[in-house]
Amino acid sequence: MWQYILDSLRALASVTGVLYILLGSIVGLLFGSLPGLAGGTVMVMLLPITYKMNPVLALALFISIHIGSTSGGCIGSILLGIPGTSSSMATVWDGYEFTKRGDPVRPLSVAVVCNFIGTLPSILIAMAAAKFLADWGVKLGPWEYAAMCFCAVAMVVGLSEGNLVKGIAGVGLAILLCSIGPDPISGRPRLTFGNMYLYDGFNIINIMLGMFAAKIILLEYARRTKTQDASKIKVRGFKWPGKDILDNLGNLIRSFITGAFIGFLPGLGAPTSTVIAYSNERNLDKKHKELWGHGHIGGVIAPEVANNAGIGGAMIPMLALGIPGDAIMVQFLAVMSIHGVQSGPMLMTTNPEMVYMLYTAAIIAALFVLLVEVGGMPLFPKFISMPYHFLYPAIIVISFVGAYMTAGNMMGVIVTLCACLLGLGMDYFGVPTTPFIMMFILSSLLEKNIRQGLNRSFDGVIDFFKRPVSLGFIVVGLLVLVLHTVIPAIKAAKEKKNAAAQTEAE
Amino acid sequence: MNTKQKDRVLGVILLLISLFFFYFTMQQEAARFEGDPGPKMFPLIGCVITAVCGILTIVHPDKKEHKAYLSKEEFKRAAKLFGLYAAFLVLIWGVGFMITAPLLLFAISVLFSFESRPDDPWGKRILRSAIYAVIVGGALYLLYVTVLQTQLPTGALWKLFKK
Repeated sequence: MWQYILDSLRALASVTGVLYILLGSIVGLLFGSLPGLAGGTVMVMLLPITYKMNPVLALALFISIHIGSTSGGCIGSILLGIPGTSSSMATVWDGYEFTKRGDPVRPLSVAVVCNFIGTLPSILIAMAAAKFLADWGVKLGPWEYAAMCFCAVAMVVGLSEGNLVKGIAGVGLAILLCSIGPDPISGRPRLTFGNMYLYDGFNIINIMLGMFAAKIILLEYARRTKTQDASKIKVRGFKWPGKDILDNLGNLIRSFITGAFIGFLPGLGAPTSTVIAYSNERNLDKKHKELWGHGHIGGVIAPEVANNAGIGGAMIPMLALGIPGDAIMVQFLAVMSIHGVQSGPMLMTTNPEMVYMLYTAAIIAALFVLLVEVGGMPLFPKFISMPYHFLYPAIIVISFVGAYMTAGNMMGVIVTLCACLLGLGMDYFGVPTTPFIMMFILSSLLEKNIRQGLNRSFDGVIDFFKRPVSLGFIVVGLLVLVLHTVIPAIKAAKEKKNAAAQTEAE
Repeated sequence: MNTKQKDRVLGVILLLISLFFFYFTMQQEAARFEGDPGPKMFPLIGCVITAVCGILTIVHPDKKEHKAYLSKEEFKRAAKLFGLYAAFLVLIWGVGFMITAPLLLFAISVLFSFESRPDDPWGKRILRSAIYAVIVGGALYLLYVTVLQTQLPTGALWKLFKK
């Protein structure tokens, strides 16, 4: 392992390598801090540009953007009370209170250090765990992989709060759209309606460019989102938050464990882990209960550590099993496949250099992000005051050119436009887009493994239930779906009963 | 449209999509290998899921009222920007990247500057957006063509004129 890390360091220790990581960290921080945009948008936008890049540098750039944007989300939360990314939502509750009192430096300094503390160990854990998981992954057959994909999709569908049916409808639509294109077993075109442009199916990059970049900017314009003026907020330099960290050491460790574990689970991601970590700590801190929500530093530490702890967690299933946990990891998979690197259990055997390079780049990026945040803290208000009339036109043009480059013809732009409309339509009817995207990503893997499993089985579908690992994943997936149906139903019934009792009493 | 009506419309749309795909899926060829359920299996699963969800949405629509997704005025604004997206598609095909990119950059920059700098006079707004469009358009051209050596669309109309 150490040899690979040394080799990766050698590969990245060039002027170009350092520049890419530094650039990625700054761009990620900038986009992460801007409310409305997140690192995911800039990554989707830049994906097609990496076609001609050295794969090592492309992956280093992307991991730096990811770490930068995850860390930068707290800037908007603390200075404006508007989270830069959804994962920094919980930071607003206490972080912004400090700014209102005229002390933004304390929460910002704590957040910057917590971001680093969350990122670094999570990547080290990912480095250690990925090998074991990959060794285990090699022993699995198509039955287990199909069950894993089902479980991942079920977990994401379970998040469709209040409307499981619409979440499942998103999954159905994704299956239908993914069925257009080559059959994953025979490679023959399927459901192409005689159109040669559909022979290769829809590229996930085009879908994401439409559903994220194009749709987000369209909504920002429709809803008249204004550039936030934070120029009046004075932020002096970084102040070492040693005492705050030491006083909240238990909070930090617990939040780290929560973030890393939830990050590892598919689909749940940082927005869930930060809220859970925040609520846990708030409930546990009996001494300062009244301070939470009114500017308690523990309320900044919990979400910011959990947020970044998820980075390493999410990398484990993506690299070791080839199953992305969220949309960001899908983009990593896309960059890797563009450069001929297939993730999955065999990756650790066939291309371990690439895996360790990604981890090493992540560690360097975490350090760079820390340095940029510490050194550039007085510039944070300027970050979030960037005028949208300069930012958005460039994002749109880069996205559409990227769409063209991805397909190599105008069909790419057409698909991106249609994906933008589809995203808007889904939002309008309340169909969540996350289960759709997750199914779109896993569809081909799921179909291939179901069919291979059936081809190789003696008892047909029953074989999926005979193998313990496969059965385990199916049961977990079904449990998630059942619980998300039963619990809201019980809650609704209780509410109805309470309301009836109240009217009776009146 | 209230939420109940919206859900019923969604249900009908889901059913229609499901029927459309079902019709074409049934026309696909059968499995070529023994034991393989064939290329029809997965789209059929998609059809069943979509149809069942469609029926459930029609039968049990959401009764809670939610905030409108976009107001009428916001829809109009969204349509305006989408119109520019569509114009990009037509223009980049017709006249190529070199002309389309600065035009789109300029148009979108002017649109957004009404929100970010509402008090600016027209002249200033246009001049600033024009300078921005030329500089960023040029930089993007250099990035794609010189640095990344990408073949960008040069414009189908020019080719027609040359003929």
